[in-house]
Amino acid sequence: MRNRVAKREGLAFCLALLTICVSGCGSGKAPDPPPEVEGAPADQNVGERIFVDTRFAEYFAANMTGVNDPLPVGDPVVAQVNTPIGSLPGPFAGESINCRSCHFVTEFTGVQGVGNRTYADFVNHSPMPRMINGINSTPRNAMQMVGSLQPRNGPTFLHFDGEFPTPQDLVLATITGRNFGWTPDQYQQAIAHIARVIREDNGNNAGSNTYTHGIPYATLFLATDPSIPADSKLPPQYRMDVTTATDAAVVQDIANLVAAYMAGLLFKHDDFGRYTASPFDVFLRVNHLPQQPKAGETEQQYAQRLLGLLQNLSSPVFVDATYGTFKYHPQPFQFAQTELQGLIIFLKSAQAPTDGSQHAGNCAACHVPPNFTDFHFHNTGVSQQEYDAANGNGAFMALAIPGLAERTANFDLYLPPSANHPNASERFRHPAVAGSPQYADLGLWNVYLNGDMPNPQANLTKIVCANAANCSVDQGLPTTIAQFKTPMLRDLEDSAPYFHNGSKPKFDDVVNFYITVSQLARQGLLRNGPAEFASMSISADDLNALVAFLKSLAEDYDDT
Amino acid sequence: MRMPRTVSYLQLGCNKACLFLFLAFCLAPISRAQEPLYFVTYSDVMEEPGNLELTYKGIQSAPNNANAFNSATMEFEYGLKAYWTTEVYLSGQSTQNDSTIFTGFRWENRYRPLLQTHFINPVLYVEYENVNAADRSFLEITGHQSISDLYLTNAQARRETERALELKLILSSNTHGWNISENFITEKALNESEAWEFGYALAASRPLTLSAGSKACWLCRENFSAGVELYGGLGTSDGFGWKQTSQYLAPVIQFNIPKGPSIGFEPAFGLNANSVGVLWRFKLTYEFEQIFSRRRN
Repeated sequence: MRNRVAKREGLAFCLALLTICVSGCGSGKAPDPPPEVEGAPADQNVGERIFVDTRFAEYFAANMTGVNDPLPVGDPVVAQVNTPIGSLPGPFAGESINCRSCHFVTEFTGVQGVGNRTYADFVNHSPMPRMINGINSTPRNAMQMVGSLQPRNGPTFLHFDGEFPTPQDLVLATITGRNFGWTPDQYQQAIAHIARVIREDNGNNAGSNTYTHGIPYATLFLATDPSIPADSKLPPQYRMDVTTATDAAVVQDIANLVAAYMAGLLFKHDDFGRYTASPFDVFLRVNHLPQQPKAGETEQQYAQRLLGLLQNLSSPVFVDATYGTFKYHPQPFQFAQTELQGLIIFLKSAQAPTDGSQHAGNCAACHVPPNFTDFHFHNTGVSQQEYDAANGNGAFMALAIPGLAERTANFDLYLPPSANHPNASERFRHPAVAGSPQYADLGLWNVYLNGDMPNPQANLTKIVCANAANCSVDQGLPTTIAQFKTPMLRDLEDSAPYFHNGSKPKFDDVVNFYITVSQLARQGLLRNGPAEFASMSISADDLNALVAFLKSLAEDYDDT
Repeated sequence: MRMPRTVSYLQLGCNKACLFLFLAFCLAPISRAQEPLYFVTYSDVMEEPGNLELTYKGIQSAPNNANAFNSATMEFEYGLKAYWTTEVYLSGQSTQNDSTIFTGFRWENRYRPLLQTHFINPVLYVEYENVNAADRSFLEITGHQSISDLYLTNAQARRETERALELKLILSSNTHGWNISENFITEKALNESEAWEFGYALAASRPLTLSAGSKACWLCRENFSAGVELYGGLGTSDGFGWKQTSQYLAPVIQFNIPKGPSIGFEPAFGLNANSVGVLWRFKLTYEFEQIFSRRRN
């Protein structure tokens, strides 16, 4: 009797086990998880559609026959794109300018000598649709967008001079500003036009078909139509009836959606946020080196710990083609001895250097791994070099820069234009021009304590006064002279030319620049020179290694 | 930045809990220990029907390039039938400079199809686990587990929860006082489309002496057992083999306190760069006989 019971229970156990195995795992694949949206979520898809929409520009407003009709004649500014191999037909030729026109990604995939971009263009100053206040190109290079909203400790600043604390602010200012052809006094006109495009759109255009199944904006924003696919059905926080919403509310929703899209632009990483795709990342992984700070560790501490580990790495496993290949880059997928040497130079700080012989770049003081940026502002001397090249050696050191009181009292004379000051000269947010010594680019100086740019001030105050040696003078304003936001170095090849003015087309130029400018700093000839240069000691001997390391940060970014 | 003060406090709390458990076990009136020696490897020993065995398993380790951690797992093992043992695990961990978190639970069942003793005694094992990636219990090593997994902060790792089914074939032999056990492990995530993961655990052990002395004593050889475990991953169905797996070799010793708990200790040494240098394992086991029937009486 006991044996029979035992057999029955045993049989039940085996059956239960078999059921679990067969139903759950028998096919070799786990049961389907709850349905998920394939690819990007709806807010990012709609955001990307807005990002590529060419109808928000002033040119379109001035020349359209209807919101859904093609332009009789496209804006000449997008007809051609200047690239390293010359002028190529623009992907938006026949239309008007959009966000993508300065932030390309796969538009030139496979074109020899051009290739993929990390949401940047190819020129040192992006063209604007029309001359406004004597300016027809952006004061600075188009900063790569990938990684610009990478999660971080600390505040967000966007644009080289930190003008925008949120992506929403940036989007609003851009699509209603001069990059889209709108003058400062056309703000309300821009808002009305953009809202009209959203309301009247019939979904019959390329962007709509590519990203949102040809569904009109009004239907997408309302999100009540049951036929809207999941990848285009907006979450509740974005939904609105655009027929009754105010123009401002509609445009704010646009900004929110593009911001969501921007937040999704990240370099390849795993589920835990660890970067995965560059030879550098693979090198760390296969050598069991830490890829991120550990709990309780700052990124700077992580960088120094990594340096110590690298210097004691007895038998490194190097990365070669067996670990991967590049699809969009010409160089081999590798991290070998030269790259390792470059990484060590990159991380190492010099001790009281008097020359460039210590093989210590101290680059990680600002380009701190794993993001290779500290998201803060530094003066690297780029503005000084540009100004001196136009006006003579030593000219930037002698340039008269007003104090806070004088600057505030003479807004139009010194600061960039705004709705309150549409005729401001922007003389210190301007590329240096030979024969016009009034022009210089002072970067953060234009934004910090600028009453017409209130949004970033609270966070900027924390940053400036945390870094500045002396914040008692004009609340630290002099320390912001020629400071620019530290760019991310990941996949840097796909956002050349480099620096805020695009003055360096190649990595060699960049490294040589730092060799020169750190020497200037040691000699006390760099105006508002950064403290970080005091620990930089590199020479031409370090050029190849540093360039090799920078190349090892490349990855095949293609927006997927 | 989190302060180390928190860690000291947490570790103090953990130590107090261990002390409390130890005292509770020692002071319990009727009990005896009967826990297999191993920390990872399963033998053919089943829990006696009606008995409840409690085990605390702790791990302390300071992996290279990661914060030191203490892991704690409580096991509740109950003998349903002579051939069927069920067990629940609750796991948590405390990481230096980080936090203390609960990492998940496991529910396992072992079924011994052949009750009579043979040269090789097979046991079938099935387990459902719901643990997050911050788990540090090292109850089994499968797939491509790596020391790099320990570099993650708790905040990062706890976001990733794996619900998995784990199956084991346990083979165990007893000869001349020796126990030799082999476990073949496979694991499949149920909430993600991941490959099957494989692992193994091998072990051998023996009491220090097979003959008991005439007088009752504590620190006698018959109260000690010693052995060695070897365990590690075998890759996945996408890439079976030793490449990029963790492997550990672990001598183990256990002290069976007469009429009291068992105390085990095992330093597990990582055999390759993918493994943690040393896992210091400790366990305390106590068995309550016929716990429910005694209550009824």
